[in-house]
Amino acid sequence: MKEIKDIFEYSNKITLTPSEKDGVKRTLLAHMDMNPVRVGLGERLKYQRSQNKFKLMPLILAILLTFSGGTALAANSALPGDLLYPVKVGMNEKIRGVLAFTSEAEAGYQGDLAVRRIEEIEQLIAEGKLEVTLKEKIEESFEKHSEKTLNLIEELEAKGNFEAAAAVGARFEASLKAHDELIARISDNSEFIRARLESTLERLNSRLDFAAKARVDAETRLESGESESRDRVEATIEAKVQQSERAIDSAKDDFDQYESKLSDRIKTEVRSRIKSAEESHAQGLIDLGNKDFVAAFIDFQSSLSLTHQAKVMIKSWMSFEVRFNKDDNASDRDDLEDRDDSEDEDEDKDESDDGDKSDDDDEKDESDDRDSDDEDDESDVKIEGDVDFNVNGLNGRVNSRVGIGS
Amino acid sequence: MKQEFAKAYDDFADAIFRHCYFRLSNRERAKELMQETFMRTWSYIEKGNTIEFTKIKPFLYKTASNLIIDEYRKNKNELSLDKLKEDGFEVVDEAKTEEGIDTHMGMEKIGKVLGQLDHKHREVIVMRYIDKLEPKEIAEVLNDTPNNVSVKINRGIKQIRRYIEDERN
Repeated sequence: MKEIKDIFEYSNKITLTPSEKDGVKRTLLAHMDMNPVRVGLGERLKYQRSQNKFKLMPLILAILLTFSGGTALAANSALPGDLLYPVKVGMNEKIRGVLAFTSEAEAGYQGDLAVRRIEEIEQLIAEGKLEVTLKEKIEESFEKHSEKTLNLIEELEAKGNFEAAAAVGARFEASLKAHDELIARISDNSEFIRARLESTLERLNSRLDFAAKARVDAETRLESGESESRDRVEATIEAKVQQSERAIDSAKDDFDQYESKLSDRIKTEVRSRIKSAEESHAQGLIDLGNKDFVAAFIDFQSSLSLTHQAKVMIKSWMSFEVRFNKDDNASDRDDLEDRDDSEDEDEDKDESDDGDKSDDDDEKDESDDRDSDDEDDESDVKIEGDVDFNVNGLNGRVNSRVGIGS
Repeated sequence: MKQEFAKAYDDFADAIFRHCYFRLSNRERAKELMQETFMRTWSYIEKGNTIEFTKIKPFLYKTASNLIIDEYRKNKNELSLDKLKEDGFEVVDEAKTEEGIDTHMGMEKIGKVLGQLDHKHREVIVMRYIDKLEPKEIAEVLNDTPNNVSVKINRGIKQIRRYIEDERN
């Protein structure tokens, strides 16, 4: 190692000349005078140090605020490291978790949580806040939820519920694919980001493979031989047609709305997905005409998967882009969050009329890090509210009265 | 706060400049990026963000490193590795000062060696042997794990050794 050190022996001869150093310093001081700091560092440091002693503070604060309403909703958009993040993962997810009655709903929900972790990573890197330890933690959580999702899909298959397994698998696969594409696009523009998201992309790809395999497997079993699934497919095919139609319209709306803000690459990707979705939909209608219900089901499923990818790409791109450019214009970000909300409303149509309750959770912004280990900390938390869910076309509403803890 | 930051400048300006210099092989550009590094860091603080005192050094390196990566991207053609390999290093005024010829040779050697490395390895080698950061500190700068950093350093060293051996033969 000494030889290596010797090579660089003279590197410390490289310094600024005193006049260079002073020159830059003057420029810098002038810059600092023109842009004075808003809060004294000393105070902030003190605050930061004392914060560590009050790890529970955000949670307590959140519980207090919950009673005044609004917090749970606000927490949905919190990122790791934010004050409200513990509320998001510790409380909101639990309420949703309790309400996911069927294995299918639970699988869809777990899949959404896994995807949400990826979104968080994208948003954090856009904000320049993606620390290694944080990233590892989020990735771990991603793995955990992915694992659960895939296990539940397997469970569905084992029960002979092939159409549900195929639907949940397709949706999970579609979300992962969209993010895979998005991260690849973002990385194209920045070696820095590529290097940092390498591990995330690797994990994502590995899960994507599993999801695709699970979906294909379920579809194959659906196609081959008699099963109750086939009857169910036939009985519900009309709903599937409509669902696919609506999804295409909704994706087109989103695209029209945000087209001017998307990068060319993303535009192309989204366009091609919507086009393919329309083709799959048309093919589905032909199969339906031939009374081949399973083939039609798979076509509509593929159409749904493509429109879902398109929508996820648009939404995540907007979210990334705005956070990425947040430095220049803070109000942009608020705009986006408003837009995000309205987009979610489009997606879950019947969500709009329960604004009077504070805890209606939109499924996209849900999260969870800790599943059960915080049960002991909480007591007497009661949440009332209407909660909608929309998992692979299983739309529904649950009027809930949920008590957590003792 | 302003005074503290000015002190940080006094303490680290040369180090950051040196880092930029050995990454870019261009003295003028290195100076500009050093200035930009401090400007951006100030903007970050000015917006109400906090950097702990102990973290200011890694933060500066991190900012500089990001700027350098941008720089590589912008000048893909002008700053290609092939060109660096051909030209070795831009040898500057230092060669004319009292230590004269030794420094000159030393610099030329560094230039040639660094010219052998791709950006990724050059980054860690510069941080380790010129900036004299520990792998743990480098990991902090790069948002990587110390383990990965050590692996990269070792790969960089191997490349350098191979080059030296080739030169001897």
